[in-house]
Amino acid sequence: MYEEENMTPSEKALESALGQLKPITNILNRDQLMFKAGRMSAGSKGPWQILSGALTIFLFCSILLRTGSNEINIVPTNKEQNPIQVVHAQYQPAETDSYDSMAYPKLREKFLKEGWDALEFHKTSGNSESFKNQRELLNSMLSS
Amino acid sequence: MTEISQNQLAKWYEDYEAELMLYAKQWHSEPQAEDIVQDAFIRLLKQRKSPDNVRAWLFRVVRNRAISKVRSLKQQQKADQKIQESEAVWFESSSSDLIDAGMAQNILQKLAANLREIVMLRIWGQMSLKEIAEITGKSIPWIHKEYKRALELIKKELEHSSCTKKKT
Repeated sequence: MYEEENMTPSEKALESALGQLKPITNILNRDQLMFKAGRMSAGSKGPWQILSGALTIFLFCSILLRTGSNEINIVPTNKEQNPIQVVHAQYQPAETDSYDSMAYPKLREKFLKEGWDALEFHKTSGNSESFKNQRELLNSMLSS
Repeated sequence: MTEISQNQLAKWYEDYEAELMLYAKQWHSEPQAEDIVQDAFIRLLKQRKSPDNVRAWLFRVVRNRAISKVRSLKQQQKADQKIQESEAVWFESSSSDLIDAGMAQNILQKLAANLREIVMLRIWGQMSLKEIAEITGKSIPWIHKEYKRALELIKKELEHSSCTKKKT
């Protein structure tokens, strides 16, 4: 080893004498360094910060592109208004029993022969008592 | 190997700043040496994990930065001249010192750059010859030989200076 073995006593004495000299220290530099170190650590961008920044830019761009595609085109139109079309609905009467198809003379003859039974719709209709009263009244009138 | 905290950095700065400054001053004036040393510590903080030998790592970074700065200037002679002319004080003077601080500085400044570097790394950097060899990229026997030569030169200079002091 070259460390201690090959050194003469005078060389060792000179080493220790020189070693007693203390290099000048500068306290102000330490504060300056710590300030720099703090600023560096605060300002350093981690991968998550870069990623979030990229995502923000992507989001901003996508919003811009989307709003650009949905622009409203204002096209001038004719000032004439469409005429109002009035549709007259055709009157269609509800279906009712009518005797139009029957010949009146035939119905009269039948009624005179058979009486109220000739009119079939009266048989099926619901209010039978009132019709009976009406029949009796009519029969009495006819007989008289 | 662990992650470096700011408190750890402050501790290392307190421990090694003076030695590193002294080391950097052999190539550059005081303000430039300050920049180089601070830059080395900032680089250390940027490391994800602390080096195995922090002290040796710092000295190596300071050396590389200082030399590259000198090379970039391409004015080695002017840089040397600046060091000679600069009024930067290298050592704290104390009455208990066996060697006068100013005298030691003058002698070290007169030494050849490679010898001065070895002396500084060995005495104030407190490094083994192996560590110095790793930093400088030279062999251990060569470092050992040059270190002994440097001590011999310093001794002669000190004797010469003390003789001239006595005469005056």
